[in-house]
Amino acid sequence: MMEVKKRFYFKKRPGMWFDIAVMMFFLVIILTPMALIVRKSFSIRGIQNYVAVFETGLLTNVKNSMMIAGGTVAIVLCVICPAAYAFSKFSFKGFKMLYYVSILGMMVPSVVMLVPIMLLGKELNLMNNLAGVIFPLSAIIAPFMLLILKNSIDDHPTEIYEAAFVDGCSKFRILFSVVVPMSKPTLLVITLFAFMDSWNEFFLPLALLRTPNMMTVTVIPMRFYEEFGADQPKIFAASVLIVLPVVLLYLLVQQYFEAGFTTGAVKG
Amino acid sequence: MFGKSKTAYFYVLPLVILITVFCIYPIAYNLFYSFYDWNGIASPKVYVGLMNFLKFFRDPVMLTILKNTLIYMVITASCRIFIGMWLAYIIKCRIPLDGFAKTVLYVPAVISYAVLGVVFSQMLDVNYGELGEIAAALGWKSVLKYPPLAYPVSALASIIGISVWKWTGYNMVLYYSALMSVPDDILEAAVIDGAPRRVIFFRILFPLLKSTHATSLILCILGSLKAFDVIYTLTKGGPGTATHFFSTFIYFKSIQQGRIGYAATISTVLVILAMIVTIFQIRAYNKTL
Repeated sequence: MMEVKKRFYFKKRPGMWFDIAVMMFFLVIILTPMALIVRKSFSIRGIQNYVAVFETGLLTNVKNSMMIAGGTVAIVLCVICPAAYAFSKFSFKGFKMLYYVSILGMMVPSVVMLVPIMLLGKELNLMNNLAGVIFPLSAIIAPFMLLILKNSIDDHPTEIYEAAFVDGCSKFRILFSVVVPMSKPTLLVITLFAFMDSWNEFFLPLALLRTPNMMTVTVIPMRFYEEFGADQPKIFAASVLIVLPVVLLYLLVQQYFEAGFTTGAVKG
Repeated sequence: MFGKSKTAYFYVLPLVILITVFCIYPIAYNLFYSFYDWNGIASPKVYVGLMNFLKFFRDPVMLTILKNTLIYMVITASCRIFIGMWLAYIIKCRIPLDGFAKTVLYVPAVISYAVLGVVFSQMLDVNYGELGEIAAALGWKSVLKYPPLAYPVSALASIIGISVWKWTGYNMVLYYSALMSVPDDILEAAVIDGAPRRVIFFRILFPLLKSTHATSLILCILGSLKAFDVIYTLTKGGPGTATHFFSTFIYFKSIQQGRIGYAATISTVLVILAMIVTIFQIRAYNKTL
């Protein structure tokens, strides 16, 4: 998937130093706030700020966020794999309309869901419950992932499907024996995007989770703000701890991220 | 390729159920209650026809929301598109350590918006924050008298600034992957013909990347209609109602004031706007595919 391509570039070009200056300028703008945040998170009491944050029970919130992210990724994958396969390889009545309606979910701002979902959550006893966040969150994230996966399945050579079918593989088994194995790189990208999106989700947990022990890592800094008052170093330490896992994950898998941009998102 | 098949419905069913329950049902719900005056769960619902819509269009906050959304849309879109493409072009042309630069520029895009809002609200404090520190170090005493989040213009500027800071790297990667698919022969031919790099950028690459501009533009427009996290954590719509956007205003109306009917009306207006954008998007996709 990551093909090594010799890039075209301007050798010994006159504008090189100007380009370097421009890039330096933007790097400084990007890096300065990050450096200031890390610096402040260690100010006054040093590493003790981080210890204090852990003592407030941040790990419970990390666990909640993990469960929400994990559950959302699982649901999204289960739902979009068969759907993308159907939209790519079958035709059926109402095909176009169903596809557009599915994509439409991408555009609906989550605030629109707020009141109906809260009432629905009360009916089903899902208020202040992680499952009550996972399902609507999956509905928000799934459409974009469907778009990426469908575009990638569209590119699979038809011969492979025909060969599998002729060899007696049922259409249903093709899903597991051909579609999923062939889409592995795309599915990895989708997993990463969906995980980060749900880890960073703020609105739904804010609206649907009530007690501190149910809250997620994105909601918790606001509570620290109320709890610690002007104790900025602790707020900043908490923020660093919340952001760190995602940034590290990104740094580990960044080459796949770029592949994700080329396979799906940009095609349209 | 498998042709018409009834089993296909079975494959799309889980997705359709998910979308129906969590996207279509809420839209229908809001449309229904936008015709009612309803202040909570127990109180009676009163049918008021189009009164809620008329009230919204006469609400002075409506103008603030529209103004904020438009300003946010125009500034973030132009910054993200131009700076993003500029940086992508620099990396495409190669400079030392370009791989490192690309990695660093994308990092803000994976950082939680809500956390950024909380952190920046602290950093922009003139007494305890970094802004005050920097201003004091540079001797700009006058800055200390004007906390940026206390004035409408500077509060909105802070929201927009954070948004641009967060998303420009994302657009850079978007443009970089698009630039990689531009055939090298075009660039080589232009160089042989002696075209300056500025000309290559504006006259050759800019028109070539139309579909990427369309994608970026739509992302920015939808972003401005959906904006919530950073506004809620940074200004909560304040000072007063000066930095309210659609999402924050609906949230405050429905959660804090319990005006479900009125919030449903604004939600319906928002959905209609988002739909219009979506139709344009589907058209754009169909053209390029």
